[in-house]
Amino acid sequence: MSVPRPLALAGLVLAALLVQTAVIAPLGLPVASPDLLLVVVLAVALTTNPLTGALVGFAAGLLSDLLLDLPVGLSAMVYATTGYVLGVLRAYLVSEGRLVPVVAGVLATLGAVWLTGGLLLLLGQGDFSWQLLARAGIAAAVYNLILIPFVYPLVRAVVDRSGPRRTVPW
Amino acid sequence: MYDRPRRARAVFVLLLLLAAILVTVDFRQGPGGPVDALQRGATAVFGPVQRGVSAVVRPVGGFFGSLGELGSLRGENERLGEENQRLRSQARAAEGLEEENDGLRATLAMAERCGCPTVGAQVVAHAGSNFQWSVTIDVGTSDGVAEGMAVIDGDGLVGRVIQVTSDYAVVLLITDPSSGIAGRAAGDRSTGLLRGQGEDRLELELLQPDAEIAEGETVVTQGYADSVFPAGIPVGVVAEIAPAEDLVRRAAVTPLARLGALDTVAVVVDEASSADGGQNADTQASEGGR
Repeated sequence: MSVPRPLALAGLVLAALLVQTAVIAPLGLPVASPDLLLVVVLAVALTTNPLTGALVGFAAGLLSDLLLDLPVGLSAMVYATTGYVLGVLRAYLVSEGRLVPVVAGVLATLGAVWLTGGLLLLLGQGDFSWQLLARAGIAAAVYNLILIPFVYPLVRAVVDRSGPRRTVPW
Repeated sequence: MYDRPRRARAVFVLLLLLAAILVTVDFRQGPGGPVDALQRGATAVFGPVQRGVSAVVRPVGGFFGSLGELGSLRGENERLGEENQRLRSQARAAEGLEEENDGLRATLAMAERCGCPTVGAQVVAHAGSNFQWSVTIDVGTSDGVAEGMAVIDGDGLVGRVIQVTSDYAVVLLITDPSSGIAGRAAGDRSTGLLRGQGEDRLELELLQPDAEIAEGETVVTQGYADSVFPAGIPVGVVAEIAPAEDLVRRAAVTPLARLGALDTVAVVVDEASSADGGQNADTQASEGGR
């Protein structure tokens, strides 16, 4: 297909943001909220390369920061790190087993939620307790675990069908 | 080709730097700074889209529910099925309207009870973050909404407006950990600070160590002369009183507003009359809260 990859990825991120704020968050799930945007970022990183992972993570994080009242740039930092690290780790993976995105997703969610919370506490912006943060990370990881089997194949299909066959950084 | 990992690393480091600069700028700016303007821009752009999506999503949930029943119908049945479905969706729409009507009535009743002028609003989006408890509503400065105004639903206080564009506003819920509201027990006059806990509980820090407060008692907002919060809006019910350990007495308060399922809310727009009419509103609200 001839859709340029940056455009396809931008579409993915925007769609994820809308679904997150207008569909998932209003469900009001207990303890934490699933993070669809993070799942999209990690799926992109696992199907492309560190550069694309970092750029998509940065863009997704920045957009979500702008819609929140948290310090702008914080999620951008955390999501870009998630995208870059997973993109790098992907090169060391021997198998492309089905468990890879699931395990990566759980670890990345735990890492991302705790990193965001930790940074907020360091910046003096978080009035929540460490216990609440720990529980939120675990709950978000469980929720994301459910999202991954649906989102990962979708992101993979979008990546495969957009832009050049070979992964060339944009 | 071979320099790609290095290039990716360089870009990654640049992105981190950029993010760090943004965080710093955001911290140092006052209201109306460049990042603040960007944030308001984002809310203004996404607000209408979020409203569209949430308007579409609500009936779709019900639609999927009824698809299963229609799956086995073919041919002639299909036509009837379609008609059936159309009628169902009409009925569902009517049901939705009825619910919305009920919500509006309840919110209106609450507004009347507190005696303050309000503007009705629909929730179009939730924060979707694990670190902020807020919602976006479809009214803004063009409806007379300003930062700091109180937002209520049919049952009680929802939160406070923290960001506003011409047509949309972001409301920080009372459960957000950074939210702190002056409150007092409706019966006894003991005052305190109501803090969000990030979950469906608030903590009331009582200022007087000898305050008399009982479980099941309603907690209402406390108004001050220069406060945009009207006095006497019911906030929650005392669920548990912590044993007195130190000078500060604490109590867990369950919010009255249905924060998990917010749909129709109202913004209290006139701050002036609330300060004047505070006393009157106080008594009415305490009676109503019982």
